[in-house]
Amino acid sequence: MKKRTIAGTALFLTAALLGSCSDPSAVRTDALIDSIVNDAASQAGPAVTEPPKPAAVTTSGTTELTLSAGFGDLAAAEGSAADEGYTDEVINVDLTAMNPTMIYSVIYDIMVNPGNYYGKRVLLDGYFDTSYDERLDTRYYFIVVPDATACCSQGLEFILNRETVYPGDYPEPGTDIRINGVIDHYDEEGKTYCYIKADSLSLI
Amino acid sequence: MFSDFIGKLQLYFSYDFVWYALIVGLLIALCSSLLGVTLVLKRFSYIGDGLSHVAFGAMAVAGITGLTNDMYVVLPITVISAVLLLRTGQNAKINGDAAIAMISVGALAVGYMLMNLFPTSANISGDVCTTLFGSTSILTLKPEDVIVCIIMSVVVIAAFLLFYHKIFAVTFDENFVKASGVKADVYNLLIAIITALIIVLAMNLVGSLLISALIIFPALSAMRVFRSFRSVIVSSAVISVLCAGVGIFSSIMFGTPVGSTIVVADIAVFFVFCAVSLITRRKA
Repeated sequence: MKKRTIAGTALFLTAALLGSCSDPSAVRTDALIDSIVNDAASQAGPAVTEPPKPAAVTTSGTTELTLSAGFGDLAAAEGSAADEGYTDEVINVDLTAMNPTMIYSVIYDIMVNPGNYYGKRVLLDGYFDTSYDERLDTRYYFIVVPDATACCSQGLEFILNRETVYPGDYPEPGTDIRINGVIDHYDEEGKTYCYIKADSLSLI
Repeated sequence: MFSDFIGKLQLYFSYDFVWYALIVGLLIALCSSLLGVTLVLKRFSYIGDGLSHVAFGAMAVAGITGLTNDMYVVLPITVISAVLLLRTGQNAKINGDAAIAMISVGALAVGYMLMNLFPTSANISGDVCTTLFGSTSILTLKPEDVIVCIIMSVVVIAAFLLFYHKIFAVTFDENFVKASGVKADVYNLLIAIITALIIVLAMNLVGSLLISALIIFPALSAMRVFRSFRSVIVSSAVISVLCAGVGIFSSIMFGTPVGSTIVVADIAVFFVFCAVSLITRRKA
């Protein structure tokens, strides 16, 4: 009887703990992220909503853009590239040398823990996409990376490190590109966003 | 070539999420294998599949309700279904396998229909794909997920060790256990709750379509070679943990899907044990 009581209590506590602590985002991150994407789509611009989750783009097929969004309280995280003193020549995170499973996982990690990557130089391949926020009169540019089965995609915003004009200086949306740049962040309307300060954009 | 491999190995294992995946994967494999032997012997091999589909349907319901943490819906529904399924097994009106099949396909159909009727995501196919096959979600775990999994695993292993003899008795001869005055229903309930907990956890690892493999393959492999309950349990646990380790390692290194790679490793070990069984029988 005593054993049964102990086991019952333990199981109940575990169930309660699981219910209160477990984050389902490991299984279905897209529910939260897609709400951001949907909001962004309805505003014809990038998501600027609350969640402290990064701006990842989860899309179906190749038509929908999975955009990055709010990064919550990241302003207080690590410094920017310049503060970290990284050499331009060193690629800290070379996603072109990884397999699709790892690429997807690393990009997810960049979005969830951007502070761990600020100032690091990344090299990644994906396809180009863009969106325009009429309210802020701002255009955003993204590199979108599908997973191995291409059923889910994740995207990172990038800003070219020079004066550019759209569409003249950019490829057609959907074009395969390679981005070389440093992970950084900026503040917009009280939110902190992670992006790649891109030194180069090349077609692949 | 070899140095490239080592370099890649060091690079990949420098990421925390790779270690999280390995820890969680091995723990889930261990827990599911412990329970797997009992479920296989009780002729409930397919209950994992049924319950995972129930969890899939519950996730769809949770998505509609807009809960930020769908575990509040998924866990209770899965536990209740597990209890009902295991109890229905003794009910003459609907046989155990028929009840599992009914709930399994029913929950899957209702869940998929709800996801389409009330889409909460721009990427329904991605949601379905991830939930059914696990996708790469095991590689996107956070530290708190790992802690929950460790606590869960400790509880499951402790419960199994604590009630080992009772579970053994209930597994082999429920009527005898009842006749000897032990409340077998209580232990069946315990098995049902633990099964549901493991399945909800394991959906992260292999997805809802492949959970049954984690439960049945290690147990069946062990039964090819070993005969006693204890040796089958121990070898099943070892096989399951090894296959999960090899599967996760391979998928990280070679980019294969995590869930199906683990299951393929389990299948390979099953055939190896079948061969060993044949050889030892001939010699005997």
